[in-house]
Amino acid sequence: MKPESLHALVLDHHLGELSPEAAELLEHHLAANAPARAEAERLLQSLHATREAVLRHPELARVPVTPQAAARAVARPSRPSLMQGLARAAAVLLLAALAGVLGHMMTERLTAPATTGTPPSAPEPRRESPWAQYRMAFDPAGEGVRVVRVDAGKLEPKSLR
Amino acid sequence: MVGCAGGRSQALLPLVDTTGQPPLLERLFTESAGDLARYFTRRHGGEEVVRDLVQQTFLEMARGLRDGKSPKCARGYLFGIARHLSQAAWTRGAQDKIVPFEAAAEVPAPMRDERVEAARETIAALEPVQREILDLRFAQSLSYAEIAEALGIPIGTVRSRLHHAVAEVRRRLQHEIHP
Repeated sequence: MKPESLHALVLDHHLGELSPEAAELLEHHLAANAPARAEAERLLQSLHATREAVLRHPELARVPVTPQAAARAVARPSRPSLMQGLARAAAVLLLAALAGVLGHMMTERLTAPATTGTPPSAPEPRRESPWAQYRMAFDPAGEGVRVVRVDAGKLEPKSLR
Repeated sequence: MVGCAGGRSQALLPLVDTTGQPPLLERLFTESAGDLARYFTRRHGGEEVVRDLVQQTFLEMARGLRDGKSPKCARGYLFGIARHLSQAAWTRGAQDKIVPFEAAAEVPAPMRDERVEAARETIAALEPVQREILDLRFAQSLSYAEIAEALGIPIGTVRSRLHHAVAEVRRRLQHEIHP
């Protein structure tokens, strides 16, 4: 057993803080181990000196006090008021709503097509449907959106204008 | 006795008494008023001031219970209040009205013991919270759990700080008294 563990067990045992099972094991250990017993004896002498010093010198227990600690000491525990609770709930709801709006805006921005540079490539039209031969495209000259025809055979876009 | 596990009483604190026994505060007062008076006397001395502080401690406890406080350990909670009141009394300047404590008044002519003196010097150099732990343990006989409740710290901290304090005293005694 490590000396630190022995010290802790001996102190706890002497102060009545050890479970009966642990106390019994410790007593067996001390009974069978003379050096541990001697060490325990020395430790208990220190414990007695400590106890005596504390009892004889109560000024040791006086600790410096900060003004904050004193203020806390005299302050009564307060119960949160109804208005405080409502204000807290309103703040939570507001934050949740704000987060929702922001999330929605970000989603739209990420999924929207780019408006600058080359016109976006349209998906290949489905040949089964006649409507698939037409698609919308951005005019690179800056005239806006126009409808273009897609030749199903050659897949070349042709302007209707 | 009203207490918590590991204390002088092994009974857990019944906040709501259904056994026909006196109410919690009444029992606490019967069992702990003397201990509290001793606690305040060690810090403040004067009999009248001590009586006031004891009353104030129970008043604060009653308020706490009324406001829904549910301490794990009634005696520890009580000493926690007492500790705060004691500190506040010193800070408010109430010490002016208090008869300064004289060690000789409580312990009549203690024999000079170099071991105890060495221990006193070692303890005086410890952190304040460690000194409070030692006082609550040895002068008030509070359990680790009760000290933890009184100081608002974990039980493990109480144990380790106390062990450390005794180890420091042992080191000092080993070096100076029995080199």
